[in-house]
Amino acid sequence: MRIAIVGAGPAGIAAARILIKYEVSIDVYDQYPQAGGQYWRHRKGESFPDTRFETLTNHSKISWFFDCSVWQIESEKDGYSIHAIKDGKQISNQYDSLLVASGAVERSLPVPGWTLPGVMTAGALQSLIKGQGVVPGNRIVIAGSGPFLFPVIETLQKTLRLSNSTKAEIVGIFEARRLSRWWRNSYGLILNPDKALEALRFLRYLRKNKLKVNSGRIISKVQESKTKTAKEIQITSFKREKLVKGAKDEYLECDLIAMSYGFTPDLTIPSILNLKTVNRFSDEIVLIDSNQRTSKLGIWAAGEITGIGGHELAIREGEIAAFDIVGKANSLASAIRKLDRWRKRIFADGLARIYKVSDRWFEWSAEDVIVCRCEEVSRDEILSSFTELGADSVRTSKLFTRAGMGMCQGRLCHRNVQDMARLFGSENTKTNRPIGGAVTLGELSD
Amino acid sequence: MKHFKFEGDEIPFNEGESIASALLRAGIWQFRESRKSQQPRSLFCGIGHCYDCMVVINENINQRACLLEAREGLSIKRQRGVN
Repeated sequence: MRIAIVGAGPAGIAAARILIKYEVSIDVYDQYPQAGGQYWRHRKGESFPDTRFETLTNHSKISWFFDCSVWQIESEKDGYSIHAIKDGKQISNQYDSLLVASGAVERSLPVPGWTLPGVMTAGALQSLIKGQGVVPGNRIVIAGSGPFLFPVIETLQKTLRLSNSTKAEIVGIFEARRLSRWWRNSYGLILNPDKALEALRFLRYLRKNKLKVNSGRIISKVQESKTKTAKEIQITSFKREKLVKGAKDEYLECDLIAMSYGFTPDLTIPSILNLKTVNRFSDEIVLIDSNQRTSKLGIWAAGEITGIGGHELAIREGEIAAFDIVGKANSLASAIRKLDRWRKRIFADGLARIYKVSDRWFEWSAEDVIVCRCEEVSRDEILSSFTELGADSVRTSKLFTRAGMGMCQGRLCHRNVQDMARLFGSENTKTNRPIGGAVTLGELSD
Repeated sequence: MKHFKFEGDEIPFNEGESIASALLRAGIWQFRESRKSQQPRSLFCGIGHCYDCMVVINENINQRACLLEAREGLSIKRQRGVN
């Protein structure tokens, strides 16, 4: 049996670790140069960050296709053909079964000035530190909402403390939501005491390092310097999912702003496969059954595309899918993992209830803020495509405004435009893109 | 240390480092100008999704500085207008 895994992150790697024990051939595709995905990103030459999976990276039963962009997957008589671009050349291979584990993209909320150099996603800062060993900027602000801010703060602070030569420092941490909202995850905390301890350990780390999280605060504007880079932020109170505009605004000088509002599933690959999706916490996620089977025969899905949940949940999902692929869905090993998946899913859903971005974020954001960074389309241009021009979906709004038509193909703005589309009555907000990545005509013609 | 050229200047880089990382370490923040309003853009998502860090490498446009490894002798320019 030939199996392809799309995505070499936690879910894909965990599946591969189960599959190697059976008589199957395994090909793993990933657009990055090494295994690990975003979570286990590491510097070249460093050993794999999680020892459980260390030996997999040079395992003889796995063929790795790195730096490889899957742009199309076709249904065949008895299986699927993957078409991908590697080193500027097209490769095509046929498989009996597919596991899609293509992960998530970071969610950003538009704020005036967020296109300035110096403003980046928290994930970008994390990847610069972990993948390159670089901390750009001297006065650093971490802002946004969600549990991902925690590891970014910790990685950054540890790196700053290690390198005595740098004068860089964290000058502000702003979390839109208050700690008291954690009651919404009480059930999840009881079922996952390891996670509760992790949260406590982090709060202790903050105190030890004299780092203060300003909660209920949000960046409402980024001001530019003479050289057109980020220079100062305006900080506004955030209550009941709205900005409290007025006298209490503060200003803070900084030159690097790392922002994050959590993650949203990357449905690029699921949408070229036309897999059925459902709405969960306003995110479109791939519909799966208890064995991670999708709506199409022979295709499984695992990890963040089946609902944001973090790397440990992704590992369980990958393993459960792998057992089912080799016909061991009813084994004890699979049952144990299903129980653990249930426990972790409850925790992840609790986090979503605490930190989910309001569907009406655009009501409190600025009118002229750029939403589509590639094509430079403002919030009001997109809103008026719905209210005045009669757009009724992300797709029709895109045709009127060009939002989502640029180089990133809507990866950054789609989720944000989706919220606006939903308000104006359209349920049809499905991602609808037949090609899975940027491909030049030259690469296809060879 | 090895170098590549950015707008004519020699930029040093570590083995295996991305172009974006080497530029930021050298204090260079502006990677390109946006197409419509010619505003400066830089690294944003850091993982190849957003295409905001596009530069021109040896006359090839639309190259993502965050993904591509720096190599000796590359000639890199700011990307203006295209996308």
